[in-house]
Amino acid sequence: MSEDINKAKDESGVETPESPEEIEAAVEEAEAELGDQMEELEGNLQSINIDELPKEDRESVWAAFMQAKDDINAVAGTAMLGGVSLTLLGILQGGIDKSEAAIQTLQGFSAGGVASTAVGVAILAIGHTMNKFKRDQKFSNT
Amino acid sequence: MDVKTILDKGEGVELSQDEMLELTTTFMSELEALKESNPAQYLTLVKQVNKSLKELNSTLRKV
Repeated sequence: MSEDINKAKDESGVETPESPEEIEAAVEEAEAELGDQMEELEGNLQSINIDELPKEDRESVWAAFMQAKDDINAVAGTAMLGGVSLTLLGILQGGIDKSEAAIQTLQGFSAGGVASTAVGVAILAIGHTMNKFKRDQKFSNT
Repeated sequence: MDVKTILDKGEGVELSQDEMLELTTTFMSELEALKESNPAQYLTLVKQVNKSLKELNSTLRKV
């Protein structure tokens, strides 16, 4: 398992602290940062008009989402979350109705104080946004 | 259809609303379990999501 974790770190370029105290503090910091990143993502998505983007820019945005999905899947797979998270992202690519339902379901967890809701929603939001792009046929399904 | 069957079928499978709920609940449970059992690995995952979101935001700011 430790070799797998190290491999994931190498592949992601993400470094992890060693002591439990450092890890706990880093988790709190990282979860807080998720909220900021998600807020910025929503703002960025609202500020661009896909219809007005040149073809190369549309492809660049799509490629960035595909890269994000693949990078997260690589780490999730190593963390033994591959069965669900990788497949869930794949399924999300198949239909916007399902991803909307998934987002709503996860948001329900936040009311129950589930701390990891933020990362779950962030992962699903990537798949959900990709579904929106696909629905609008602005990006290829590669 | 249980979650294992859904996972075995993989991408493109058509899910009912109940199946989507079940899968999403499992997804959340795995995340929570990972956070409890292996905080370092959970941290690696959260950091990767942050890194990916930063890269997405960077790309979106450029277009």
